[in-house]
Amino acid sequence: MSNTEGTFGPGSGRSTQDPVAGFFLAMRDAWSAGAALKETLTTSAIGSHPQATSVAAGLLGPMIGVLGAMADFAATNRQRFDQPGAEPAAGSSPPGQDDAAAADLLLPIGHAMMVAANRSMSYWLGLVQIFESHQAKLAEVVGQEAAVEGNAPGSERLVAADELRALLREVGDLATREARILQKDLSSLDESLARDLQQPDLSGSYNRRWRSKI
Amino acid sequence: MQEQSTQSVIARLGFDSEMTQLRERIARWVAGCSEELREALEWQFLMGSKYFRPLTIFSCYRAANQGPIPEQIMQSALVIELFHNVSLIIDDIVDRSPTRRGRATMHTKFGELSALMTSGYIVAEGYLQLKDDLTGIALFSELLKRLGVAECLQWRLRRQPLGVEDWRKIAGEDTGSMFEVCACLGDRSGQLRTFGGLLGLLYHGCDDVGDVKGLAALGGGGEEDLRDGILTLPAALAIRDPAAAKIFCDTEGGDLTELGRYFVAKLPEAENYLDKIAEEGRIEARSFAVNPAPLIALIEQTRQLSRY
Repeated sequence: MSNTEGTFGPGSGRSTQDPVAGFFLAMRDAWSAGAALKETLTTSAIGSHPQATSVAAGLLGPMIGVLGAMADFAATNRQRFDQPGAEPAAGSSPPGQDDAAAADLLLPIGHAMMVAANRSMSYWLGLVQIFESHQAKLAEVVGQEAAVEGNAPGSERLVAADELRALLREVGDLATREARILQKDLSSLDESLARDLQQPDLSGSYNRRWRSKI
Repeated sequence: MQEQSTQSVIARLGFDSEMTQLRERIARWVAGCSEELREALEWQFLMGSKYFRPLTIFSCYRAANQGPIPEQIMQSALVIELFHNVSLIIDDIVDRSPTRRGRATMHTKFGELSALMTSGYIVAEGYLQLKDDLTGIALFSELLKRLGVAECLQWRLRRQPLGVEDWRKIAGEDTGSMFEVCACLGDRSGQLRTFGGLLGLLYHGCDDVGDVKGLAALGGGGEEDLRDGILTLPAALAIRDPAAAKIFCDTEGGDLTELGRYFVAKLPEAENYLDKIAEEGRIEARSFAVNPAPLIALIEQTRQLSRY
């Protein structure tokens, strides 16, 4: 199991001086928290979800930390662009093209990671809800089956099979829906990135070359 | 009452003028058809429809786009109404239904041969109306194929002790495929396909429950399904009880009144199940529509169908 002790809590990665490093530390925290939640859900038996719910709630902190780190990073970059004459901090690269490129790419990367983490969390929470909603009926059916030593009447077996099929369908539907939402969110991020990086249209200058001669 | 309610949703979503246009197009189309079949077509098309499928197409367009409804979408709405009527004509023949919405069915009034030939004529006309809309042609082909398969599947699986998941599969291919295609015709991106499927499933389930309640709200009773051992939502829940399953699976017909009582006892459970499907539909609408309001209005309207 991942050892995430000491890394939880909003802004754990934000104490650092460098906003870029802060951003990546915060991402690491969020990743670790997500992994912990996944492991808790995977290893715990159906029904032991209070633990999973508390870990899921704990994931909110690192998520907020990532958002904060992204905000710090964006603010620092804005400051640099707003004050072109300002001296760069010791150890940091001078303002210019490198900073601009980093800002252009790091924020969308962070955004994409947030989108993916968000969907991942939503998927695991959805799974918990599905198991919770089917748990009582499944336990009842399995209990009855055990009581009659596997010789339950046909009708009870059909009910059990129907219940299990519903559970399987819901799990599959959830995975498909979350994947579709992820695809939609990433696609809109992709479009906005392409729009932001689009070169200005130079076709106008072509027209200006033609002048009527009087 | 049901028709009034659909009208109010049309007005609320601002599709009055589109619906008027659609009615006029259908009337013009009927007027231009072969004289030999015109009386039958007038009987079928000019007797007042709820236009819920065209409304679904318009709403799905509106959920993804702004501005007036374009020609291609209007054309799709006309063709879905044509194909929907083909499915009604065939259903009525298969179910041996003498009436629909209080009037004689086409085969009762004009004979089976006329009804079958007219439905073939309508399909051919539908494809002609689509002109160069290749996506539309592919979607309507998918619809006809799936409806055919669903009808055969439903018939083959009659009188069998199946479950709610089986009902979901059959209903998803039957009414579900119709509304899936409506959603795809409206938004043209495929994003609302699952929403359409859920709307169709909800419609089918509400129809099943409404039938058991003995209501004519959706244009038909439930006697045929009960008699033929068709797996409806209340049936799938009721036959979990071995006593109900025994009557349901009886090839001689069994005591249908007694079976009906089992179905009625399961109505609250069926209503709860429909609430779950409606919620799934709302989640889909919120997750994938730019403007989910028209889609949620469709869900609410459909959910009411079993409550009259």
